[in-house]
Amino acid sequence: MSGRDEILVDVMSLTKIYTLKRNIFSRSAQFVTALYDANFQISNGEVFGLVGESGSGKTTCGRILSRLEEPTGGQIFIEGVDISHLKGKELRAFRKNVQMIFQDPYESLNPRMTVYDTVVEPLEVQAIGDYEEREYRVWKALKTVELYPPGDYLFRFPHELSGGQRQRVAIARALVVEPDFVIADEPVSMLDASIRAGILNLLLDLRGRLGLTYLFITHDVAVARYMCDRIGVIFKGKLVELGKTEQVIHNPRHPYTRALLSAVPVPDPRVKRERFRFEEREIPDRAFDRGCIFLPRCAASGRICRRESPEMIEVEEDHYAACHLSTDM
Amino acid sequence: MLEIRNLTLHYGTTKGMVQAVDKVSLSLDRGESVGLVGESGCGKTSVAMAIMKLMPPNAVIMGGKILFKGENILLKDDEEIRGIRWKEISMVFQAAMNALNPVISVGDQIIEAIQAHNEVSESEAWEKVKELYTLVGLDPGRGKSYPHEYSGGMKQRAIIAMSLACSPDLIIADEPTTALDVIMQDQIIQEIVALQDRSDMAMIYISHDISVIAETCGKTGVMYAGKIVEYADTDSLFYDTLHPYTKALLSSYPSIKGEVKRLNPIPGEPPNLLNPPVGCRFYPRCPEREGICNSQEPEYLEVRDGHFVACHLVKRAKGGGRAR
Repeated sequence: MSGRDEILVDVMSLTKIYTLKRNIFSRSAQFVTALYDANFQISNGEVFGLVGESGSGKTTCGRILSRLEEPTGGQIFIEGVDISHLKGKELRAFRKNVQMIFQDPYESLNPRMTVYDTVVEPLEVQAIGDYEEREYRVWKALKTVELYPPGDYLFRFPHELSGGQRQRVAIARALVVEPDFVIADEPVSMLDASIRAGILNLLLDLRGRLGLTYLFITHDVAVARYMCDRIGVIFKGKLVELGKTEQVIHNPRHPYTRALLSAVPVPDPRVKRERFRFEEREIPDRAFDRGCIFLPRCAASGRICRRESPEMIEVEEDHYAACHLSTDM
Repeated sequence: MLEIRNLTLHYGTTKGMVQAVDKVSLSLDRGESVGLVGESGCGKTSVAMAIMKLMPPNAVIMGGKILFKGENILLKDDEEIRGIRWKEISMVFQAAMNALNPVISVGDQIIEAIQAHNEVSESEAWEKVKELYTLVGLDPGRGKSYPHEYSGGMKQRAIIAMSLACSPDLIIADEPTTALDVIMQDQIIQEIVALQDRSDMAMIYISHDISVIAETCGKTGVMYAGKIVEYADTDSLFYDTLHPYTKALLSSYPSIKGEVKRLNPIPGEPPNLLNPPVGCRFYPRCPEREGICNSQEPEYLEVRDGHFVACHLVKRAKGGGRAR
């Protein structure tokens, strides 16, 4: 699983800037930097987590990696191929290897399509197999996601399924083309705890059985800890910490990560948490190239934080933090 | 102060009666905080709405009482209930921040609530707003601001301030932080806990998240398919868990503390409450079920001081228990 030579996904300086529509009153267009200079790699067979709050840019990152959006700057290599600006046929071929699972199975499935139609569609788009082959693959995919026996589900519509079953259908649809890399964007946040645990276990089992690699996007640190080998913490479009999950959880080095981790409630009434607070101040959008993005809220800032934007610093083996003071903490 | 006895509430639908709340009993003293935890559709919000008498028109009370200071809320008419609602019992709804009126300043909206229940002048009401703002950790000078000038967390704080405007004896918080990010959630929860500690206000805190309940409430009731299946002080509920559903729920939650253990999902889905199982409602999914569970409904019994459970197996293991 480890070893730098088995890198499947290599993200270099990935940046996404959205231009807001100019209205008749404003002279110049306004820009929103959703993701700024993100660098990370995902090894073959690894579960890499992106953790952040709403609006942090984690979903944007997933959408760019699955090429639902084009990056403004930087490059993405998947299996050594630069996919940042693929188009047409090449983009379609790329989708055979990279699939996505979305947050809300109530919205991601077409309510007028049966389970069979939903799951077979990617095979039709990719022109894989004849009718019999497709039927076999759909059957197999439903078995893989533990919708058993598949025959009971094939001709049902989404409204006849529970939330957990719908998400399983969405996973089957992603897996039917046998991708190597799956991007799961908050795949369990709409589900109840007892159902959620089943989906998380399924995703972990599939990683082992099918040799999948995941980008797992979530706001829930406890879920990320359960799922991921390594995690990246993202704040307002900037990756601030990156490392093995247990390293980051037990020894966070960026002040934002500390605050985030210390705010996670623990399902144990005897645990008393120590809290790291920061001030709630607006983060101006231009802050990226002028000093540290976290500066307006940081309690520990020094003079250098105002002048220079911090690079990712290796604080221990394979553990990086974008904080000038991270080595002092 | 509040005593719910055998509350049974059904919803009439075109497909039949949904048995949303079934013989729920719960009591609450001054200064106590009780958590109600359960998955979506378990009836926890229905219980809250019944206490506020804010049920939708298709709700039918099939039985039971809700005694507030000795009087049955369910028997009060609209006029009487208006005197109690918000003034003595108030509620914070999930994502209530989206219900603020965008064209009236937040402070004025709170004043509206104060003046609806108390004869106070405009300036006295403003003083009260400032006091409330300080109480919930908002800058008292921001009262004249409009909702769009507040962040989500600030709006939710303002909603809590509004719910405290008439100094209620009981506050019902229904998923008050679910729409917020974790850091904001943590701050609001701390604020709520501190407020409740300082006063002798009682609180019912409703959440789907057992970790939030673990940190906020002295006592916890676990609801499943319209029933309270286990009720105890929060420490016993987590460390001396008796009901198979509670056990299963606890082991399906990941944590950032301790070792990473494999999560145990609960097989199957919650029952359809149009036609719930005849015996124990958890029977179809229960890992410990026996023959009796399928045919006979388990009684809700006090098996130890203050620890209530509705489970045949626990009853047998404990040699019975006191009926409630």
